[in-house]
Amino acid sequence: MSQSSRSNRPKSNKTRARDARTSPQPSTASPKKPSKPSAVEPAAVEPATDDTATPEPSPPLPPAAITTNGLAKAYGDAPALAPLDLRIEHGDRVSLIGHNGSGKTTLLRMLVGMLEPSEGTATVAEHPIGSREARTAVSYLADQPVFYDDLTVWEHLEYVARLHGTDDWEQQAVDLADMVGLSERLDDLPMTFSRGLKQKAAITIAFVRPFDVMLIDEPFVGLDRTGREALLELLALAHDDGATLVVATHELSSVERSSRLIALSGGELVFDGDPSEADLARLTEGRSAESG
Amino acid sequence: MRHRHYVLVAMTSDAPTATVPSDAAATLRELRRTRKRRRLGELDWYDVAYRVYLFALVGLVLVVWVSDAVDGAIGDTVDTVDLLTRGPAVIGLAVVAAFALGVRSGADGGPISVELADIRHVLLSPVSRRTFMLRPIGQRLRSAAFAVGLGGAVLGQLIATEVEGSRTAWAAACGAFGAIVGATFVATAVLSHALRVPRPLATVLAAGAVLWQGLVAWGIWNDTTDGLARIGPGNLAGRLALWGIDQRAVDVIAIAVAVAMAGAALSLGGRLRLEPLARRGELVSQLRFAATVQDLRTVVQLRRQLRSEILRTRQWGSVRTPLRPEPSATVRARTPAPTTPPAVTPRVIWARGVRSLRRLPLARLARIALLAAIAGVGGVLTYDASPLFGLLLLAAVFLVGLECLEPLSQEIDRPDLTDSYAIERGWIYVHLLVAPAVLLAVVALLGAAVATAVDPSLALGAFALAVPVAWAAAVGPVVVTVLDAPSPPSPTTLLGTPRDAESSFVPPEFAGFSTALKAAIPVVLSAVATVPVFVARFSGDVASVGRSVLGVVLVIALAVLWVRRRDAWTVKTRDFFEAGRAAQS
Repeated sequence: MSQSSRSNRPKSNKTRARDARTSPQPSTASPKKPSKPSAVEPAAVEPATDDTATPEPSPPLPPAAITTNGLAKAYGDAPALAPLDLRIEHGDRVSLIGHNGSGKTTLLRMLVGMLEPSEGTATVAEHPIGSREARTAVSYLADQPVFYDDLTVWEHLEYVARLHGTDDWEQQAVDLADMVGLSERLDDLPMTFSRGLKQKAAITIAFVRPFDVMLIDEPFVGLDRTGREALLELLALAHDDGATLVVATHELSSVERSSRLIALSGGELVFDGDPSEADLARLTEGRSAESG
Repeated sequence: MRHRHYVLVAMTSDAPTATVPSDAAATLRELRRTRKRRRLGELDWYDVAYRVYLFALVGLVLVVWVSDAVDGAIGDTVDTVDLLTRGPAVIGLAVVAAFALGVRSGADGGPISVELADIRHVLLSPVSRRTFMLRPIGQRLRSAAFAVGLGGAVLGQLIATEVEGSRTAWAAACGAFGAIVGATFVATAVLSHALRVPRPLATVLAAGAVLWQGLVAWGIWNDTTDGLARIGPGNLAGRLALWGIDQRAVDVIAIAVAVAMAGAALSLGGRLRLEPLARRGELVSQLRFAATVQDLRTVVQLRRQLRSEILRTRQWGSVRTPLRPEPSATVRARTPAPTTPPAVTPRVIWARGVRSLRRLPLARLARIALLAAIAGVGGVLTYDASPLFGLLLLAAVFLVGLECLEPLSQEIDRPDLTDSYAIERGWIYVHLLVAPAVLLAVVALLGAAVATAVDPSLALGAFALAVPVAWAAAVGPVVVTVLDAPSPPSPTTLLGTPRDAESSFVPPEFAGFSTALKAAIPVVLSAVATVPVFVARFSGDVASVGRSVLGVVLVIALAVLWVRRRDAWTVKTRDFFEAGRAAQS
């Protein structure tokens, strides 16, 4: 992964240190957790065999990074996301897949508090979505990077880091920029950037602020090889450090690095489990193909 | 059909070298005819007639009202001989300014805009671009000449109330002059664009022309020049505007020059660059929509984009690149989030605001200075001449406010970013007002200096009122900007209906009314800023002026409080309605 990406230039001390942290197999550096029983997992749902049996009181669940209870979104009569019950544990690395219009972005935007649910509730880091406490914990890397026209990349980094109460941000900002290959453009306005450079700037900003949960929407769009591999490495490092990651993507090659796979189709949950058990081609094919 | 055959032949592998289809112009005409027929077929003629009727009625009432107000305001002491001697050079400044603006606009890719679809499908096809561009350039020339000409005619009949000559003659002369000004702007811009005049050269040409005419006007006005030094590029056109008093055949040259420039613009229209045409095509469609819904702030922002006015990468006054640490051996991918929302010092926001203002481009700073000067002159005229000039003062200070609010505007236009910070939005917005307030204070003092230069006896009053007037005038722009921020999320409206279905329950009459109200309220709020000037004019009592300033300060404080607490008040209002519905059920 990252090692091969950087093999075209002499390895610096920093690169070697990163290599050491992520070796030997970055994809397995984040230990795969066993597939958890999720609130909705079609394949795992079994009908009750004994109606008269008295259920034993279940022990209280430990706090979760993300929970959704009947979370749904509709635009007028058009449903975007059917009621969804999810529980994502702290430290999970989740891939969210599905065809275009399957509800991935809708779900992420609701979790980050940018979109108001039509029904249901959700929490992030045990706080209601959109609350100040939730916003303290969650970093969102959107599919369309957004920047101020009047701030350079460096000033964005400073502004965002300081607004999240971080004072010692400079070294991390320099390191992140160096990693994604943005060091030479730190004093430029992102509005003048190409799509790929904008994405790199957005990645740097998303990682410079403190977070426990990171929601990422189509992060590989427009990225060159350096940027793509730097992002994968950053995700692995953040996951190793205990962060919860939810990555919505069409890049099936990145799914294998996840500990859990959630697939949506037509706004409904169609798979929730171990990525190795999933038929990725079927889960990501478009609606027309499905109906056909 | 022949055109389609040509395309098919060109697509085959053994097709000969493509030749320009001979019937392309006919195809283009047919396409335009069809689209026009469809457009006209969709028009609601009754609605159009009603709008024209309303426009004419309101326009007529305004003209009559202003004519009555102006009649006698200047006095009957205007010396026509003096006017004919000194007037042309001063009036000619308008046509030279149109030339200057046109050269700059053309260098920035203006002034023509074409539909994106036309660029993709027509201008990229082997159709003569000159043939295609004749219509948009012709339309632009026509509309500019008509609009400015109409303004000139209205002004002309107003002048006739103060100066000798018939209303008709004055209206015709000033109308012709206005048409020349409008056509000069468009023709110069097209020529500058087609001839690829570089921006620096355009600036030099524009500044040179204005300086030349300005020096001539200054010299003639003060009787300090004679001979060739009295010749300026706008003199003939300026003299044409005075045909209400006296007609001179040689002035027709001004019309001939304008017509020649328009002809040259039409003939070189095929050389306009596609990239700016495409950029402007997109922006103009947004601009039309914003103007339709009376979204003044968006109109101003899009106008800036149309002028290619981008913020500076390097801040004014920055002399060195910042020192930064070297990349370290290990990268820290994550800082764990704190358990409670962080406490943030306001200095972070203030510094962000200062950076924003230090990136304003020179053109914008010049515009702010010009508006400050106009406000200064408008204030003096409101006090000395006629209360009508209060409108000039209000327009200038309102626009200055909009220009100076860049930091707040940037934050409001990116709610995704603002809402990702674990801080109340209102707190950020209020602190983003600090830097613009400082800039406004500086601009206000500039306006006061101009007012003092116009009438030195008003120096004390001008400097005393400048800052509160400028801040109060910014209340409207602040409100119009903050209103663009999304409300705190809620699935239902105040009435309890689902928010997604809200629009379907709003009758069009109410929607139109609320749109007009939204456009009017900020202007009304900013109008409060002019109250001390009016109080000074009509009472002249220092104590009364002081009380009016206190009132203005109270309005400013209320506006700041509203910005800070808006979200909380919205939520409280919703809760109140929610509680009411719960009690009823």
